[in-house]
Amino acid sequence: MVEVGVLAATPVRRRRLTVRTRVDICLDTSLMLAYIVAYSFGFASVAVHEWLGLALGVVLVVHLTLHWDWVLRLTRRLWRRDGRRQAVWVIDLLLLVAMTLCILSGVLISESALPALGVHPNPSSNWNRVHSLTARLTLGLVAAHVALSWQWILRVTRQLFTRLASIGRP
Amino acid sequence: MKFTRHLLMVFVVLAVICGFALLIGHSGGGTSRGLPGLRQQVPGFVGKGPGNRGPGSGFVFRRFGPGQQGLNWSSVIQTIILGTGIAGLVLAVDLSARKRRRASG
Repeated sequence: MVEVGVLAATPVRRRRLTVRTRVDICLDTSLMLAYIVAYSFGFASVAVHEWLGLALGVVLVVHLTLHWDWVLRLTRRLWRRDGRRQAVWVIDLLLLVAMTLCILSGVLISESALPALGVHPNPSSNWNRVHSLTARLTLGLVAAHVALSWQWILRVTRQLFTRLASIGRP
Repeated sequence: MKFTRHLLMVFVVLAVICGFALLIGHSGGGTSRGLPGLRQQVPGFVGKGPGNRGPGSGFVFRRFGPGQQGLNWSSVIQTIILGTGIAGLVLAVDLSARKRRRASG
């Protein structure tokens, strides 16, 4: 997660969140909620699962693009002896590969969303297996990704609620 | 401009992953029949377990039929419990490692 968007220079500034940080937290929260619903296959119809999966793919690209600076920074610092940083990098890389494969295989086995767009994929049984395997992998990796970003999440959430409380005060 | 440049890089990375996957997927062969479980319009999903090893079992989610009504919240709760469990585990490991690092200076 990006940590540069939070201003923490003075006590007054600490309560302020940049627009970028607010965008990040909103996007990340919606991404996680959408992922939970999309992963819960039986929640709604197949069409909902597929359309949500496609939307997830688009938002994932935006998420990755917004955090590309952080990805490059982390990669450059990878060779320093910091086990946590290396673990984060490996988990994020695995998550990127697993989620991309999950969405790709989901597109290839689509039975509702793509046919509605006039595309009729002819999937092999391999893609079904890839989809269910990567979906399972992704759940674990998303959970680990969120857990390893707990400091950023906690800080931003705290600042967000402090700011909301100060707005509500007369 | 920076966003566009980064977006381009992201697309390149995704294209590489997708390209490799498609290459391996196509060379691996396979049939166009799909897994039998996916064709069955049975509510819920089924896991591979004792007494459930026939066609359509295994790591295949069964589809909801067209007559499904309402939302199945239990699957969402299952996902949240599973995700929270894994996240809690990772968090515990991370916190203990942090504590150890602090203790060692």
